[in-house]
Amino acid sequence: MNWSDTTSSGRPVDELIEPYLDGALSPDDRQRVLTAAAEDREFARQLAVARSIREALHSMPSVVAPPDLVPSVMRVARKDRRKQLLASIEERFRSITTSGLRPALATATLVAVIVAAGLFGRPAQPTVSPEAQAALDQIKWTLALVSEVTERSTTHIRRDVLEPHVVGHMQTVAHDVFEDPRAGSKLN
Amino acid sequence: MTHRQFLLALLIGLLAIPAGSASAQRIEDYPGYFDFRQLEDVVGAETTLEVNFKGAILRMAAEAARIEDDTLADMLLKLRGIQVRGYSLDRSARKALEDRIGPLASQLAADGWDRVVRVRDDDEFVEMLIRDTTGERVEGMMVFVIGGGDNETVFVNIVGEIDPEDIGRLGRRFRIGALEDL
Repeated sequence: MNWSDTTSSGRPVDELIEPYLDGALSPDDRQRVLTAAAEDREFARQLAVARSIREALHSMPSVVAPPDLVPSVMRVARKDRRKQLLASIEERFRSITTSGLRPALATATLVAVIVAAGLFGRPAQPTVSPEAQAALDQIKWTLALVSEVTERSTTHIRRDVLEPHVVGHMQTVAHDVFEDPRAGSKLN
Repeated sequence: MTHRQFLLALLIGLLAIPAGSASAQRIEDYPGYFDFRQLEDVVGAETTLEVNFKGAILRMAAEAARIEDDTLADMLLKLRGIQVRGYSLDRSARKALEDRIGPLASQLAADGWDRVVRVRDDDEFVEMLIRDTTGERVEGMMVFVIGGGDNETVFVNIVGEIDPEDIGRLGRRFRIGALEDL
């Protein structure tokens, strides 16, 4: 059997070296590898080299990966993926712009600009500086004070009017009635 | 200078004159202005509240007011200044101050201010005067309030075109907090 022959699964025998060393072959394929090694010196040499490399790798001291290795690799991978994505979008865009879709694309772009202007171009809500707001608060307080003083004063004026002319008069009348019964008869 | 350049310069100069003269008028020149320095000796105490709004800050406040209330904004734009002084005085100092503010208000009345409110009460002293030199509109308002509490002595001077009804109507909408809130 030549080591370049194919196995029952159609794979060349030399492709069975790694699975053989991993112990992952079926009994039939394992036997084929052994047969090939016995019959073919070159195949046997390849098998021996592969085995020695594996043993050398196993004998190397293990190295602890830095903790940020995986995230770093993932970042690089994502970056590459983004580049690929942008490249594909650029390619598609270029193919569109060079095709007969150019008028439709121009219309779509115009619509997008108008919609964006409608969404983001609205007049912004006016903002008030802290100084202006503080000034306004103090002005409101002042106006409220003046307003309240005026209203309270009006109450005072009414009381001032009421006391001498109404309350005071009633007290005088009541005094006359209780102190001088004859005055009370006048009321009848 | 060409003829055209001369005309342009003349036009710019003519346009600049009214703006310059308007901005040059100081708040002290308005008839409704009250110089609070007159009170330093009368009160004899440090202010605990001092507010001076005029010019740009008053216009900024007016524009800030416009967001919520056009009437307030329009009223503020007619004003030239708002001054407030607050004092923390104990009862005896307040009583002594009442005796000094009364003659000051009388002096203002003699100088052309109209006394519109005058209250003398056990726990409240109020003098309100307005200035109207033209007979058409109020140009200034002066309010002296000496309340019953230690932090209730407040003097207010509003300078500019004032509609007292507006002040009353607008003022009722706002809350009067303690002086410490300011």
